[in-house]
Amino acid sequence: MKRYAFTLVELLVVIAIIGVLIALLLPAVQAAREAARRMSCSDNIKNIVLAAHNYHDTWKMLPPGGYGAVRHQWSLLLMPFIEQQAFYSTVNINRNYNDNTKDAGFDKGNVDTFARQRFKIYTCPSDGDYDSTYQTHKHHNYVCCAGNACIANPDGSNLTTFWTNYPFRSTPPEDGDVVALGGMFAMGSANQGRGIKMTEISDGTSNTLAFSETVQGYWDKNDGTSPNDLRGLIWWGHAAYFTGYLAPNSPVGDVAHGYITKTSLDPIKYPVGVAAANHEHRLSSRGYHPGGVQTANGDGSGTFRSNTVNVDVWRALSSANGAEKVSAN
Amino acid sequence: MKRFSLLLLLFAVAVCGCTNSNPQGRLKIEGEVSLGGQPVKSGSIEFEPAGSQTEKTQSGGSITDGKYSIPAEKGLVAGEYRVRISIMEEVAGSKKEGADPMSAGVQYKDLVPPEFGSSTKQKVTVEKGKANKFDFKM
Repeated sequence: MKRYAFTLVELLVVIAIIGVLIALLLPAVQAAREAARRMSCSDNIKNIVLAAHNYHDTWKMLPPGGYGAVRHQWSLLLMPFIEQQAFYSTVNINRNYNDNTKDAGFDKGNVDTFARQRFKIYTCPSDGDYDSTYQTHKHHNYVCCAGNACIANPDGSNLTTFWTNYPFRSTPPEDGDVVALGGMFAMGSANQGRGIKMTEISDGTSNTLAFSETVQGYWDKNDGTSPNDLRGLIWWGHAAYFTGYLAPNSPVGDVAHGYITKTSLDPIKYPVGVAAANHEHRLSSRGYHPGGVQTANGDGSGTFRSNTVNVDVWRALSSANGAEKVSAN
Repeated sequence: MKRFSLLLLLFAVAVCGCTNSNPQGRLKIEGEVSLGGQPVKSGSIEFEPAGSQTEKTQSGGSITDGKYSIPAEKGLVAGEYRVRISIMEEVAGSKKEGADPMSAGVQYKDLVPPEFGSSTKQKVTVEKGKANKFDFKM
């Protein structure tokens, strides 16, 4: 009796076909996983912008984007509105977050304990849960929109002054200059940071960006040569915001004065530059999602915006009162 | 027949890998930068739209050993651009040893002459179907 068997060639062909099918399937599975993470990210950013709206309902203004470099940024002020009231009540907001000293009259513990905490709502699932070795701070992924320009603090404290060199002008533009405009959140030093009222957003909240993403860098040690990438340290005024001057995921580096000079991440994908001595700050919107970044608009809606967005449109979206003509797409 | 179907399969796999990563038709930008006759060791260059092109793109990159190169998918569409270069040098003695990094940053000085930097007058025109090579001698 003749027994039927597969020949070696037949087996190899079958294996090759199965291999090809799996090779086709794997990227699709990865893409589906990334799509799920992106969805979860858009969920986070939507909850954050809704928390900002609830803050506005309570206090009749939005939280300040920053209120001094190391004091109550939006990320801390929104705590009661993201169901972290218990946590918020342990923090003495009159002290710098990295101030560990005990002073008379306050028995609220180490203020920086919250900076060592991982908050899921502030973390993009496409990034991760890392420690910044220096001071073991946790970095996070969402930043508020502070306008369309660079921000400078010539005296080292005032984050509201816009960088006035090229290409920004405070007068109407000539020859492609950018008029520096503030965003939905104001960054400032202790006596200049303030909450913006919805009525001041004359471009309309649906035409104004509220939040977007950043990447979590880390700071290894303070020795001048190790990476000192403080992007994502959203408890800190110099990293709690982004501006729309650079397009999302721009190949031009983020700069923050002398603070961020060497990245801990891929320097091609997430470049950093060195800022001049005039305390120039320019942080852009960056993320891990392929093709673009997640943003939340002032009206509470979320939009995924492409890296190839027209920079004029992106800058118009990031300013709160520029009266630009913007088509939402 | 078997050979044909295998070829078809290979073709299908090859096509699957093709997505257009550059829908705007951005162009590759590259060039050389020197300061006082010496190639710039490290710095950065930025291109800001300054013409009437409708598609506004902005790009840039780092200068390493006198050269910069921006790949096409991150490059610029055809049009006029203003160029700003910066070369930062640490101000000697500005780093405070042991100081909290969040309150004491190192100071830097921009070595670029103002007409290439803070108040730049450099303009370039990016064109399609041409090598967009822009050299700057400062």
